[in-house]
Amino acid sequence: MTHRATPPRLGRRSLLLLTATLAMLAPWKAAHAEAPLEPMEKLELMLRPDERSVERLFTGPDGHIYGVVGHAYEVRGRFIRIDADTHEVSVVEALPEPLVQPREPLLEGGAVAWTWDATGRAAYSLNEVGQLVRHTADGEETIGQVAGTRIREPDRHIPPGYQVSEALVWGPDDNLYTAGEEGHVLRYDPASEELEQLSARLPFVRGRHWWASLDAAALGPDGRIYGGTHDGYIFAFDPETEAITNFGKPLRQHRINGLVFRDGILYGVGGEEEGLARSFAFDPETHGFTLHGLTVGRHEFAPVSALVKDDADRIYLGTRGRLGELYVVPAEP
Amino acid sequence: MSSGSLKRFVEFRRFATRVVAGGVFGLGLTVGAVGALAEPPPLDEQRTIEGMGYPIPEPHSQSGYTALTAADDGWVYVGTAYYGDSARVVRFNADSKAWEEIVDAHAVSRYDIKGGLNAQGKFHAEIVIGDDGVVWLATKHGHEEFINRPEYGETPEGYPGGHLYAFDPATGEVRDHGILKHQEGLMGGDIDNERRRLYYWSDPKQHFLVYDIDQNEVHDLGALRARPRYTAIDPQGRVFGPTRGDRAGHVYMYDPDDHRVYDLRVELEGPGQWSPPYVFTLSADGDTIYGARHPQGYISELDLTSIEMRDDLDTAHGTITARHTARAHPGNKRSGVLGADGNFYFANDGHVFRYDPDTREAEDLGQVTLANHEDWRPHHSQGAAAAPDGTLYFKYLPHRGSGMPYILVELEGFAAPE
Repeated sequence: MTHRATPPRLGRRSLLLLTATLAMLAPWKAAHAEAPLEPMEKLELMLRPDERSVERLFTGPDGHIYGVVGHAYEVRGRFIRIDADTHEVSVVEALPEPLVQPREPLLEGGAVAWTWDATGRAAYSLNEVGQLVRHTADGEETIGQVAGTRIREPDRHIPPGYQVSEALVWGPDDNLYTAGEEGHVLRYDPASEELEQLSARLPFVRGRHWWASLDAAALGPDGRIYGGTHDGYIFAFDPETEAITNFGKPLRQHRINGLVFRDGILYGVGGEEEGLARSFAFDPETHGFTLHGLTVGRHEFAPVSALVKDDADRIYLGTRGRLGELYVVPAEP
Repeated sequence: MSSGSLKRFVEFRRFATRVVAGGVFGLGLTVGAVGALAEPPPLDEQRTIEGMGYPIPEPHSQSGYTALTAADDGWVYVGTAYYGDSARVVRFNADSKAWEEIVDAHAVSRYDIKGGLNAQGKFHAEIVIGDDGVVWLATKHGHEEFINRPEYGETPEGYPGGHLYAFDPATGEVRDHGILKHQEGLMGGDIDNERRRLYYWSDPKQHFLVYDIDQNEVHDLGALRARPRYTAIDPQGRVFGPTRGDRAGHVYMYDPDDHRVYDLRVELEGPGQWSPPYVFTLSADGDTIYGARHPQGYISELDLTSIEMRDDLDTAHGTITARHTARAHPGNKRSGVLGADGNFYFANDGHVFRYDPDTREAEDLGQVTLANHEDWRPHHSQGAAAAPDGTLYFKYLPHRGSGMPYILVELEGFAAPE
């Protein structure tokens, strides 16, 4: 007599226990994914109008948040520091050691995308003509051409014609990733100094491959890189398999302004410069989007430029423009 | 009296008054005047001021706010709102008392939408008239969905943006100058005849917009954090408006020479605390902006001669001095205008007040009554205008219980002295 293997059947008691457990967890999970970027506390940015457009935010090696504010009438930016404990914002002359910090690409608009390596002694940027550049204390070195050209379209940072991504992200394999010509994923290995264009491409409607650039990215807890494209798609890229999974678009608007993971949920802000910034959350387990409201306050409709998280899980957000502002979303209790 | 003669008359009267009362006044502002401003006075319920009331032609949903202007030729231009549908501009003839519709926004701009959130549903911006007689009109959305802005960015049919129209009374033609900023309505409204520019701020993003009439160009100078229903332009072409929210202690100033917007921190002299005025109008001599609608009823004067640009301020480019010089009943003040006589007139909970800049007194002229509609009780005013002959015009919202519709009130007898 042969026996076909069958899955064990749960007894009634086990089934009840499992159901109760799931019932307890599910509301928490649902509530967690539902939680918008609120409450949002505005930080005091003591700078004059036209000198306070928040251009970048990044987490410093000392645990505080740093950023760049731009000037509307001069090609000149300044570094700011947000004290993670007091939330006091101050203008600082320099970033903390050992971060390499060339002024032209960081403060004068030369770099469209920017990131440091784990040591902080090397940094990488995408410049306005789509070249990947390495910066060290010894100077800068062009690694290679990443972006291709596209049909002329004005953009804030980028001269017409170049399809330049606005994000660089480190993978779990210590390689640097971005997107380039016609939406192809680019991988740079700092150890071998090899820049490779992969066959994987960011999502795009056929014919819109020129707009398949990387607007924002965050490394997920599952080792995949989650990104947002110029056309507003949210996707995941698996560095091991090089597979792209397209989750679709949370908004009708193009542009993803920032992405950050917190407690396994991907929080993001999307919206066009001429649109309105709207918040959303994405659950990688359910592949579900939760759409939230307007990102910033009722009478402050500025475009969002940056989203970062500190070591205490607080999320910081910056807006661009004549009256740019800084906000913090406290960590959940 | 021409505007130039009025200005000279006002300047002489003010000079003479100040020579006599200068030293006493200076002391009075710090002692006696403070006492006089200690409490807001009640409305004078015994006093009335009689005018005539004329229903504004439908269709509309009332709420045309500051869109009211009296031209030199006897026509009074009235902007209206029509929520969810095409808003209109009508005009009233001061002699014949007849109305005429001159703009149906959707008809002029060839919109085939039926209405809804995306309609050109309101003329809110100040109606301004150029030296050439052309009347400038501007639209915004006609809805109250301020929190989530569902029409913005997430639909291809979303509100396209407010249109700028030019009506030429000489030919009767209306020309559509197009949308000034994508998806943004237009509010404010000032004209610089010398530079041939119009100034608006956009809603909801509150950007300062400059429209060059001859070049047909729009310049967006960025966010103001201000939503002033009234703005003011001085003889130098500088445009002013009070800011709000966390920037409430400032006034913005557009400088046409620099083509930039600056923020001036308000330094208050006198009692109380600065609160951004709702009504905001330039004085006859161009050196002062009168403000009304303080929560405690203060009347304010912004001294444009006190502007000081500074590099040492954290959040502003300079300072401007404001003075609380009088106090009126702290009621609803949403309309005001400089009269032909150089006084500042404003509506206040159904009453009309006159602020005399020479005596610095705010006089309650009384509850508005209507000779041609004795049963109507005007209460909530939006929009004010002054004709060259001294006639004042106010728009009043319907008043529940009295059956009064949305009306234009005409008050005669405020001409400048000969």
